[in-house]
Amino acid sequence: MNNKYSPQDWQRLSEYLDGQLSPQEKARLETRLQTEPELKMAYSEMRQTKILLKSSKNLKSPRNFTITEAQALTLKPVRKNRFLPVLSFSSLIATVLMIFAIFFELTSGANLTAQVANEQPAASLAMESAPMDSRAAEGNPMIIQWGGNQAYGMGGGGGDSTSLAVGGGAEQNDLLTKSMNETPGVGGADPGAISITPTPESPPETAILTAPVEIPGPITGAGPILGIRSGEEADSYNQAVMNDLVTQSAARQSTEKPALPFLRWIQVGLAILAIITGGTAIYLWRKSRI
Amino acid sequence: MDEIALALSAQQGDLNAFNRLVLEYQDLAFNVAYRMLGDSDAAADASQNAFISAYRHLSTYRGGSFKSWVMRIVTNTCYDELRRQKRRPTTPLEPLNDENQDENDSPEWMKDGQPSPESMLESNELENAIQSCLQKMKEDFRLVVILVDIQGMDYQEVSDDTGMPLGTIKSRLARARGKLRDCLQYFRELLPANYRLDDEGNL
Repeated sequence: MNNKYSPQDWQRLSEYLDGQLSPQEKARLETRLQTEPELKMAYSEMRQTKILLKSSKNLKSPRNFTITEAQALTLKPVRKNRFLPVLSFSSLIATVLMIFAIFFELTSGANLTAQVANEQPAASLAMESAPMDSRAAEGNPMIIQWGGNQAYGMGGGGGDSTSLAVGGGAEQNDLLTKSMNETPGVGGADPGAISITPTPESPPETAILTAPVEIPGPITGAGPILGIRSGEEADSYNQAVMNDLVTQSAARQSTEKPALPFLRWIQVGLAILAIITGGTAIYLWRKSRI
Repeated sequence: MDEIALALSAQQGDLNAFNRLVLEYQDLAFNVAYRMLGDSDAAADASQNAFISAYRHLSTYRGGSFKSWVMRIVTNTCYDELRRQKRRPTTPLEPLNDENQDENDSPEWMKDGQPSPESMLESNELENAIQSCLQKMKEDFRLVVILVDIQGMDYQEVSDDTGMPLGTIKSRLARARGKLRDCLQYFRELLPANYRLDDEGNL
């Protein structure tokens, strides 16, 4: 074909040759044919090709293809399978229901996640938001004064329910809180007391921080270094932490279980039904196809 | 001939009614099969198989044009035969032409002299050329051009016979004509003068 013209042009020429163009398209093409000699040449060649094809001989069949009585007796008529529409319909319905089940699971799963997120302990949320609040309350940076009374270290931040406090901070967990009360923190300045004095513009609520902080109670512990637990204490402490973690993990797993386990079985059953009925329908259709 | 009444009678077990329909459409079926398959023996077998299949599936005929129904069976049978040939290609035991065994490499119609255009239109060379060009095309394009340009059907009839949408028929026909135009160039030049353009491009 001439590359100058697009397949659409060729199709229009072909339809024009068969008288299949609408009056508007026909008028437009005839205008082009008058102005474009190459297009007219292409049309002429297509027309000649059609004439050649039309001139080909119409062959006579070499024999009659009629069916004799004897043949008719041996030919089994093919009946349309009654189960074919039923199977096709069943496959379709099973597929649609399966899609609905998957969609329902997805939507209910999203709701469950949102619910679990809302049920997180309020204390945990408070812990997370506390630093932000304290920072917000601080109009100016605090001034830390070193020296004075003997003080213990104040290192270590507070932990939440899922993280451990390291270095003497208080933790949300009761067990850890208890242990931390018994054991001073590590990393404090020595000697002297820590006093945190807010700037004069600070709100009155922070004034309490200006007083020297003293941690009551004597230092206990048998370790060679003050404030470091002995091996036994450390083991018992670690064991308690591990037990706590295991308990939390088990609780979390119990909440993450699918809320609707039967839905999964329904989905699997529908998928199997759709595959079996669809496959059988295709087989029967191919068998009965003419 | 009321083909629908005959077809309904055949459905009731009237073999004569069915055979009358066979006689009516067997030439058309054979011609289409021959153009599709390129071999008269294969075309005869395909036609016979198509009518046998039509007889066995008479219960699925739901009225309408019996011609379209039976021609769809014929085209499906031809497609099945072409698929079978591709799966299990066969080699003829005898050469296609006793005088020239290299039929495919240098077709006989290309080596002939240049007889008069009038006689060319009636000649076997043109038949061979058309058949050779048709065999070079894809089956879907071949079927459309056979039904429209050789059998003279309109687009809607072809759509009824083959189940193809009209748009597909139009595009395939245009492409098939373009390919045949190139393939039959030699014969186009031999057409009578009234079928050709003059020097100024006028018909």
